[in-house]
Amino acid sequence: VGGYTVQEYGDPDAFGHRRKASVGEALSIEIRARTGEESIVSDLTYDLRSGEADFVDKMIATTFGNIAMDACFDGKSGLMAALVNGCYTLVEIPDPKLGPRRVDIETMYNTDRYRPNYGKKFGLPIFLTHA
Amino acid sequence: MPRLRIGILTGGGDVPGLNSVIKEVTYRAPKTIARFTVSAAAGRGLTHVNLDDPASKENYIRPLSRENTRTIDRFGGTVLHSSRTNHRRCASCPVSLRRRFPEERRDMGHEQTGDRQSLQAETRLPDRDRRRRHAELRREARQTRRQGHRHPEDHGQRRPQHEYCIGFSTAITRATAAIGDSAAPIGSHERIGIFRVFGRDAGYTALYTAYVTAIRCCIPEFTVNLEKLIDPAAY
Repeated sequence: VGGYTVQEYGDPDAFGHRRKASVGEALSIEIRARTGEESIVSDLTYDLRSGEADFVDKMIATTFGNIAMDACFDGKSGLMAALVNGCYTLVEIPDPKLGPRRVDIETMYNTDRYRPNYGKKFGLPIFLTHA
Repeated sequence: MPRLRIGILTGGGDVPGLNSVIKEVTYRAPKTIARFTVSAAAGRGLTHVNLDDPASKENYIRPLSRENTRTIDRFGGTVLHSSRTNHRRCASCPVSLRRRFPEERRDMGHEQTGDRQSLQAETRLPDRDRRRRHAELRREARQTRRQGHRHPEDHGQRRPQHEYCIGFSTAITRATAAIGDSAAPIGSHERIGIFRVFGRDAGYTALYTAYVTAIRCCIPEFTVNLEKLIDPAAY
């Protein structure tokens, strides 16, 4: 069976949409049904967003803010501070029509073991992706 | 130096590190600047402020200064309290924009009543809104091409030209810590640990968390085989 459609529950709202079950809970139910194993589900989504910034984010955010202000003082606009090839720079603001950037499955994801690829990282920037 | 009017546009919700950006911009600005803020729920500063009403301005606009931003980078979360939603479905028309748009263009969806039921409905908006927005963008792209124009993807700009968004490191750090903290209870009770992280459209957070914690991950870019995922022999 390839893939899984998250279940919906509850009454539809004014727009006809029902609430979606947590994908973690759904997987937990499937595991118990298929193997009898119990699982513990933790939803970390909001915890990830709300924490105090760590060293990397404080450093990069502080630098981004200053680069943006330098650009303002230089009369530049339509740009945003960014990291490209591991270096600070200014780039054009991405067109929202492009949508989110996706993980490159071929190089970053092991589709046999459902794990990240650890090999062949030589020469990549620190965050392992090229702009 | 000419007078500068500076706005800080946050893409979606707030992220760890944004306080640092706000502080730095404030510190580098020659004089006090102002920003929109919120009084209660879900980022209503921009859509609800009435610039002609002093009480409304007092409620939704907070001047930034060195004094009130000096320590904001020390705290978790952010000071904006904004949240992503579909601008087409917020208030009937932001008060601040009514002078710019004729009556017939003000319909942006539904009226916000501010009552509890409406607030609960708003909390469910983002996921739906994001999917609808993506559908809209795909439609716009098709229309652009049908009209003989080139879409941004046709210009070779197939993805954003940058490789880091602030808040990403903090997210991975916190996910790693949470998973580490859960290892003992999960192990001692002989359970399977399942951790849900954000990333409906892109699996970077799940992938990098798995990278540093050496666990398996499911990402939206790849459809997993459920039997294989659950099979203990495949570990």
